[in-house]
Amino acid sequence: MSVSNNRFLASRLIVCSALLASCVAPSQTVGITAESITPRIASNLEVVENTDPLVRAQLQLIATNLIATLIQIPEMRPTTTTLQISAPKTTFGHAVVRALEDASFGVQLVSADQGKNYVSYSKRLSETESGLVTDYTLAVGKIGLTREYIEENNAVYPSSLMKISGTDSIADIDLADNIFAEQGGDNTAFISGAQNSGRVNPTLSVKTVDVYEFDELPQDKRTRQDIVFAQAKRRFFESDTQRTAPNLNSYEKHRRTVLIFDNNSTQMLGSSNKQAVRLLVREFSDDDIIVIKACQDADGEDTPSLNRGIRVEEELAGYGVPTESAYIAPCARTSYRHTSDDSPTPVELIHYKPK
Amino acid sequence: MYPVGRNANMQPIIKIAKICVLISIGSLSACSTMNELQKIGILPPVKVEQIPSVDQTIIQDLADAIAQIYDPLSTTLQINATESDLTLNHFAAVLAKKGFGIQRVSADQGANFVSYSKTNKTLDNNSNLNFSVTVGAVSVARKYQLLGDNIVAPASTVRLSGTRAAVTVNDTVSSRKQVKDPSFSKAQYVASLSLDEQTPIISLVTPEIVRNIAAQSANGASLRALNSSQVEVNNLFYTSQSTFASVLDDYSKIYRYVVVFGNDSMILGNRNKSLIDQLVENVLIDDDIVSLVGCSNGPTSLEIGNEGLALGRASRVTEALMARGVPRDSVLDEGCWAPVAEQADRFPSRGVVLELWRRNS
Repeated sequence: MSVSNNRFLASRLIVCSALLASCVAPSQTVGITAESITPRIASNLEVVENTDPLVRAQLQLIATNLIATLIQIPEMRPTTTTLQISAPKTTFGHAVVRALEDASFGVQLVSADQGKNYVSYSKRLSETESGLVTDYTLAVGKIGLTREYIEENNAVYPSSLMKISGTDSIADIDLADNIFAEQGGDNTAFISGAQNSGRVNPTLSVKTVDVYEFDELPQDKRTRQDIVFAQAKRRFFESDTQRTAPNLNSYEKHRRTVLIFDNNSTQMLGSSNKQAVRLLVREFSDDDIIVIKACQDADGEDTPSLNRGIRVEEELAGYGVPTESAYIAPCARTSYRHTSDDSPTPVELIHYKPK
Repeated sequence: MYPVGRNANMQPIIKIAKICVLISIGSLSACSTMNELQKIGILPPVKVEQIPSVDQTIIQDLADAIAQIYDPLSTTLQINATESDLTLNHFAAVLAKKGFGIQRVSADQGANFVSYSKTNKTLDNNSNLNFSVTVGAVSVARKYQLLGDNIVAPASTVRLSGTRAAVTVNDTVSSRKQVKDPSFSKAQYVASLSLDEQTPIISLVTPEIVRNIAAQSANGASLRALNSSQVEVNNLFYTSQSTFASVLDDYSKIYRYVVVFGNDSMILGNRNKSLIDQLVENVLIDDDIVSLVGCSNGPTSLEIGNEGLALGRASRVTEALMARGVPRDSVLDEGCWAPVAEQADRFPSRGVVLELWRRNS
């Protein structure tokens, strides 16, 4: 083989490699795919595809941050709330609607601004003494959320408190601000906290989150949006279980049923369990309460049992039983269950009526 | 030092080739990482062209029926968010366009959870597709004949169960749909067959009622038993309080009829079937509740005894109502049973008291 042939072969190899590399060039781990923030209804994929993947990732973070907050407002429980939306026209709009879908809100497409839970949002750029700041607003009916975010070194961070209006229930809100730290930073710090817009905030709790280079996680290792929402919803139900137990002495038992989950990990109720819930709820009146006994295998914390209890409470809410009328009873040890146990799992429902 | 000989000539190329291979591997690994990311992102939106045109036609057809059963503007339907099935996701998109709220849930949450099934069958060289959609307790099903070239023709009526809603079926001929038999262009109410699996028992635990019944029971008849929906009910022979009294608080009775059965019999008979037909077609409207009290008071030679006969009769009337599309949830069936005739004449000795209750306006 002559040297010229070898050079020719070498040049071919370089070209092939370059082509191969260019073929997969868009697959860099910076940013996210267009599909990740495209709603399943009323989407214009072209709008999202024409947006830089890194910007898409930043907008998803902001949408996640706003909607994880919205989920924790009692008036906005995803299980029972249907929101009205118009077809989104901007990338931020797509990110918001997709996040609302993934947070399990009912989403209804309307032609104008119909509905009591109409969703509106805005993004506004300001030149300030701190540099360029963008404030994002999300409004659902009378509830409003506003927060400023700033971009630094290809990352986005909050630059203000989360301002919430239209509700009195902000004390228990836990902002999902850890998702911003996962981008890493160069000794960056941002402010974290929620304040009730336009009111005195006696219980205002503000902290500063420091972000370092070593905080950075690869895109595929960062906390997924659905996990953030699941944690936010769980916080709501957990705080719900902390409320004072109802005084059962003023009630009498009316009915009882036992739902059987197929195994210790599933959240699927199945048609027969759903039928039983539907029939039980048929006899429910406004003053009644339903006690959910899901945890029978350990004292203290038992996450799978709590999740089953929450699943049943969600199902009751779906049939119109208010959260305050359903009570998840604390754990009471009646049997030992090994963590690997995958056998059918019972959840007891007891319907009480006032004496 | 310069390399010499053939190997020496090849060394720079080998080095370049190694670099190229490394670049390629690096690029490919980046590619696979992106695929992982795509896996992480929950399901992408469905493009219409991804759905077979036959499925598109059928989905449109059944979605039209669903939009007549439920008011789209005030109804939110639940779809499993992790479901990767393109057909189901397209169904959700079509329903969303009709104005329904769509809620993506992690399991099977919600009163209007949507699921579907389709089965292919070939009969007499004709390829048929049975398509069934369930929304909560309501089911909509229809059979279609596949005519080739992505054309379908309805091969059955639109079969509805769990609802008595009026549904108009407009089978318009198009490039994708033929109408071979116009008599199929209507809705038919049928019984739901989806609840064969064991439903959990809903037992009655009201202590006061139990005590009262126990005090009045003198001759050994059972005091409580399970009705056709596995809900425990009181023996009304010994109490005047219906198990379902609280359900009827906001309702008024507008109709009462006694369905009479033969001695030791649970056969409904043509006359009773005809009366139930008339009731369902002419009197019953959405949101009405049908209360049934099946009775067997007096001696019986059947092994199932008075209890089995009384609740069996109520169950038989429940079946007849459900076969005509009355939702199971709208039927409250109870029983009264005893080995002796009732003195107070509240209930028949061998029959079912059927009452129609309508919500107060």
